[in-house]
Amino acid sequence: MLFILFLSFLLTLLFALIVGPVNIPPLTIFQILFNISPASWPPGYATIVIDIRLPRILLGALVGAALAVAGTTMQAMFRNPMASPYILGISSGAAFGAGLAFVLGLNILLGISAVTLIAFLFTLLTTYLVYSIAKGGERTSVETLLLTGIAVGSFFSALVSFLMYISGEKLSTIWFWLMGGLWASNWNQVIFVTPVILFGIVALSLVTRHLNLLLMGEETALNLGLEVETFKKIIIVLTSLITAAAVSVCGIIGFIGLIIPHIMRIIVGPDHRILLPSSCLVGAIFLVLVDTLARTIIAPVELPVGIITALFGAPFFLYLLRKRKRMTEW
Amino acid sequence: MKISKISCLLFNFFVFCASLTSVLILIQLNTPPNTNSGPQNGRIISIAAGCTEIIYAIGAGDRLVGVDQYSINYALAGEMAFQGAPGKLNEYPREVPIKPNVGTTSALNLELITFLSPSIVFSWAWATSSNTALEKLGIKVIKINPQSIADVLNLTRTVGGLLGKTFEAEEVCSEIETRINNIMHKLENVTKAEKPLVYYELAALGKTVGPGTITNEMILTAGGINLAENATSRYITLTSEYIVAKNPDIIIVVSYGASIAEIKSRAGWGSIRAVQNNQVYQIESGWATTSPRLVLGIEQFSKWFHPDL
Repeated sequence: MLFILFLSFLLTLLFALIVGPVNIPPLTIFQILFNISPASWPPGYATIVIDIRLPRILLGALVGAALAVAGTTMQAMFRNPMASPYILGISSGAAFGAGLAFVLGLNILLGISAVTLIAFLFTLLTTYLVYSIAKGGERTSVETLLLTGIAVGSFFSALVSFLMYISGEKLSTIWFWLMGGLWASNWNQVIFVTPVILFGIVALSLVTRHLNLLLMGEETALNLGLEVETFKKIIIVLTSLITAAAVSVCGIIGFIGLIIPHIMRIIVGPDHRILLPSSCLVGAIFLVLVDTLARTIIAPVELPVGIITALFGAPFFLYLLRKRKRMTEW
Repeated sequence: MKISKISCLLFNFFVFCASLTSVLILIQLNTPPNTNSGPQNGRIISIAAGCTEIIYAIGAGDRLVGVDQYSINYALAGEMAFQGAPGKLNEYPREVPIKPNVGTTSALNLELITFLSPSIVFSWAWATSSNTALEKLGIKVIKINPQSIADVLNLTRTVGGLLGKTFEAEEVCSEIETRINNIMHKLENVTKAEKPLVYYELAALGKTVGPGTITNEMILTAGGINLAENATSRYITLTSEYIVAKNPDIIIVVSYGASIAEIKSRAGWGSIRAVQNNQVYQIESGWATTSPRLVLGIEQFSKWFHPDL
């Protein structure tokens, strides 16, 4: 199963590299990638393939994988089908950070886009805020975490609305960012998020067995020897880290973190040892495909990818759901 | 059991790919032929609508190989919106809609821009994410940020210099200056008391222009007083009550905003002088921005403000 998914993943990358608003023959793309006979293609083509398409596709794959893994983990921890990577209010925190960077007109900080950096920091800050507020003595209940997340998220949403209200001509920029998109991808972003996301995904895939324990309830997990509180803290840190990295480079892309884990749960079942890696791959495949649509469907104009994720993903999910009639346990 | 699930998934995946491919074939048919690649021949792109108009006004429209969505939107307002505009703007509504559309500053089609290989891209200074993305690709970006009538004239001269149209740019500027001076000359003897109080509405009730905006300056130049001239920021939203209490003599609404009938029918607005005297007007949005067509806006304003002059 995982092998087939991995193969589909590679095929998807290849497919996304070949298609785009500018028509470049597959052979030329191959030649550009391996730098064979550089004189035979127009100079702009190399830039299009190497500096525009490739980073965009890689970023799409990383972000899709990160969101799907974060969603799977959050759903396991909260034991709630509505949980998503954004459940702790961090999307609103990220949006506020990005909006701040736009309104202040910040451009580049420490070599990367200011919007990316500030959104990343605000995402982590929001998680920290939510966790410290929700933390009560020995135990942090997931219900309190959930509600704190909602409240902190609403607070930051209000701040975002306020920023949009005073932003004047920058309004459309913030608005587009909120819908998510990969159009401005570049190599610096890939270099920035790759270590963070890979570290997070690898670390989470090492604890899939513990996630299975958590599914049985915190009491049972505790009795089976899992240090539930420490484990929850680790999970929150890791998921926030990968979600922060994802959100900081491409805005708030909804749906993937919520629905991909459900789709995969219907297909491969609730065992996280299979569920997590397959969600990871399908998340990557899905976002790369959907982003390919975003840049070609009404080309030459771009569609925000956040619109298409739900537009195509939701009917497919509903179809699976109806076919299954009942949800398996999460 | 598992096999059927996998094949179902793969099947969906391939259907997805197939539909994508058909879309792509359609797109490829519309892709322009690749001629003159490389930064030569002075190929330019403008993703700042005001600048697109300047480029047309000074007669360099034929060098534009790509424009943004908003440049096209202005063109779609039709020939009437460009009649009497300075320079060669009369060609704008016909030619701009058929230029390659490179998206908007919020989501640029970087691939198409690279393919069109411009030597210069004109962009707004505030569109930082677009500008950074373009510069990363080694494209030269000229960032513009005109805020006043003087800025528009200066920008026209700068663009003229860059594109080798110094003489044409000077002509456009002097035409704008002469037409504005004519109006100011007529207004010389108008006292402050004779100047109407003007409420200028943007996309929503109360959303209006404050000091520092070009529209504020245009209202002033045309012999009016902007209701929000003392506001604390450039764009603000006033309450309905405040506007009714201020009782403006004239209401102007931008063409993409509310309809005149809707404004007249708003609760309490029947008592406003502008509504009672039937002085609620709609202005073409392209006439009140930082483009050479601002002169059309000022002329139109002065006709509404001082019809007897």
